[in-house]
Amino acid sequence: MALGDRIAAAILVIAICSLLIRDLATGIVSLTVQSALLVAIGVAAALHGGAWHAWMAAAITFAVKVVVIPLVLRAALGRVRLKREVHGVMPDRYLLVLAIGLAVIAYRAAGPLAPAAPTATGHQLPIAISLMLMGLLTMVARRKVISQVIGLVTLENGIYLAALALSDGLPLGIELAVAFDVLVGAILMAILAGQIHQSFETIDADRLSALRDRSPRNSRWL
Amino acid sequence: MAVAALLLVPLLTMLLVRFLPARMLGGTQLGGATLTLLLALATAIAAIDAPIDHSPLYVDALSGLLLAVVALVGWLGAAYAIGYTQHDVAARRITAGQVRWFYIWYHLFVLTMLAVLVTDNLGLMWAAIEATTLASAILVGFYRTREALEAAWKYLILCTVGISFALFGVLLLSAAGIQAGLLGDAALSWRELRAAGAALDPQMVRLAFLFILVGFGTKVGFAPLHTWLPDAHSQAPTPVSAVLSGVLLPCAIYGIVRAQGIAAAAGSGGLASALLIGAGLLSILIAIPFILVQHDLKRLLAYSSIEHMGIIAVAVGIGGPVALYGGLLHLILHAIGKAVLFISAGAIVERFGTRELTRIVGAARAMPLTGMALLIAGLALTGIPPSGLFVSKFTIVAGGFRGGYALATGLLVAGIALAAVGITFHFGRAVLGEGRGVRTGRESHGQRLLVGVPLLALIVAGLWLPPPLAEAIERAVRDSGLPL
Repeated sequence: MALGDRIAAAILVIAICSLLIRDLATGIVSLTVQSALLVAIGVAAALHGGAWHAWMAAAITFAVKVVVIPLVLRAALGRVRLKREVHGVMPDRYLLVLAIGLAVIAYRAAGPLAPAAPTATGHQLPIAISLMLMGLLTMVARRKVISQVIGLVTLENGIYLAALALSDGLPLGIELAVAFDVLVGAILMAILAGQIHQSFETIDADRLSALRDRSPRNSRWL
Repeated sequence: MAVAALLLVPLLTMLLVRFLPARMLGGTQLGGATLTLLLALATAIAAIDAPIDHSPLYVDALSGLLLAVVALVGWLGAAYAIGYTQHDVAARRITAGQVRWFYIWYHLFVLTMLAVLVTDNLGLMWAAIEATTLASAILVGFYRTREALEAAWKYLILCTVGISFALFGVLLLSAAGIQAGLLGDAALSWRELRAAGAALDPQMVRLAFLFILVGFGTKVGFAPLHTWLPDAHSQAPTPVSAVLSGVLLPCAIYGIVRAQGIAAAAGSGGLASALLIGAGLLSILIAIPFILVQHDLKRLLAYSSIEHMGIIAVAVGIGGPVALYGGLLHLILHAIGKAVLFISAGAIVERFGTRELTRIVGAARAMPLTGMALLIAGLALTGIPPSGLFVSKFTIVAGGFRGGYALATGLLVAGIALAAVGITFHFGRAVLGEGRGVRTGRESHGQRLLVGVPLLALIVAGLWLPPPLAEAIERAVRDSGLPL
């Protein structure tokens, strides 16, 4: 098994385990480790291919996903009183089974794409797709807005890994633009989370349910 | 380099607005919007003649025409925003200091939309579309009320997740391009990918198109990914609602069209067409009940936008010179009409102090001109002749029957008719109904012009379309890269 594959496997294990983490601070740490391992794959690819833009891309990812985003999330968490997920949409054991099922599906789905991934060593692409699915699952299963940002960054990590597997990463200019968007997006979400906490006194996304279409109060027109 | 200048002007406007004294803000930002509009028109005229190609900047007739529409609606919003923000400050909804930031975010938002349209690089286009979400989410949450924060959060999360799928689609396209021998940035250029056409792996391209359709489709507001849209449109400040509905959604459709061109060149045009027609019809179908039974004026306009984006998607899916011409004309006229609707609806909401449709009755008496503008623009949007939207819808339907899409076109006609019933009912009552105890009041000259001139254009377009505009639309259809 190549080095990149081993690291990718570790990322998948961490992503699945972090679905079970309820303490938000630990969740942020777990996300940081996941991102750091992602940078390690980027560095491994850069060592192998030797192109300078691969090194730059790894450095940008490190700065954005390992340094800035965890700091921003931590700052947002600092203002919140209840720092745990209290209730999920399903018991953890089902969540675990679902996550493993999704990983299997990702392996099946990646099959037809394999010939397009000349630089991948077999496991990176399916794990990238698994990571995207784990991110989505986190966003569906966890209700705190911070957990939703963690899910979103996991999803973006999956896409970054897919880019590495499919085409040695994006051209540098594009990589920069994408990283900038991810960074600004995460900061914006953290700020919004703070404002939501201020006016709702909770960061439960479930409480964000005032806006909906209801039937008119005065129904004599119908 | 009109294109580079076009991108610089909104930036300069933002800088000026940041540092100028408060009393000069409104005029300065309107000046910036005017200059942006002039440069966009110059770029469009040049690009309709011959594509502007300074890689990665690239503008052809299609993107040039859309640039002009974005800048035009952006200008209308900027002009309306002056009175709107003054009113908000007077009503103590925002502080005078926040006005400055409103203008800064507003021009950033316009800038990101222009950026979507000036490149042939799918990666940069993706980044620009994501940037439109980030800039406009700030504006959606601008009032910081609970409802506004909720709308901004849902918008930001749903669209960012959706658009991540589009990025994966772009990656797949680029991988297919690399496989076919394209190098570096060329593997991300929709022109190069389209030219590579049959050399691309068809299975990869199909999968990529699916991801891009879902991703950018979230941003267009295709059902069932439309749930963010009514919330965001109803909570955003009104000038922003007009821009969101009129031109932001079409920018996302533009992204899909560029991917569709690649899919068609790679031999999957049929699948792409079917998916677009399906997404469009489903959106119309889902919007209709919410249009018929609606309690909130701004949400009504939002659902009407979902319906109109559905119509445009069906037109693009049907394809061919006739339907595409109709679709593009529809896009332009809808953008202008929706701007008028939001501006007049905003003024009416302001006067009645509510968005509840049951309580807005008799606007014609309270504010004759604005009320009638709401009714006329609403009727024009339903496609009643002599409105320009009658011509565009008729052209799409004709293209559909000619292209052999009898069933889809039949459903489209039924959907248009049902939505027209709902809009006519709601606006008829709101404007002409017998209202009780409504104060009559002053309407400013500026507001009359802002609503009256575009409204007149909408109706003139139904009787006589200026030949240069018709020619521009024809060339834009040709440059869309779709099979004709």
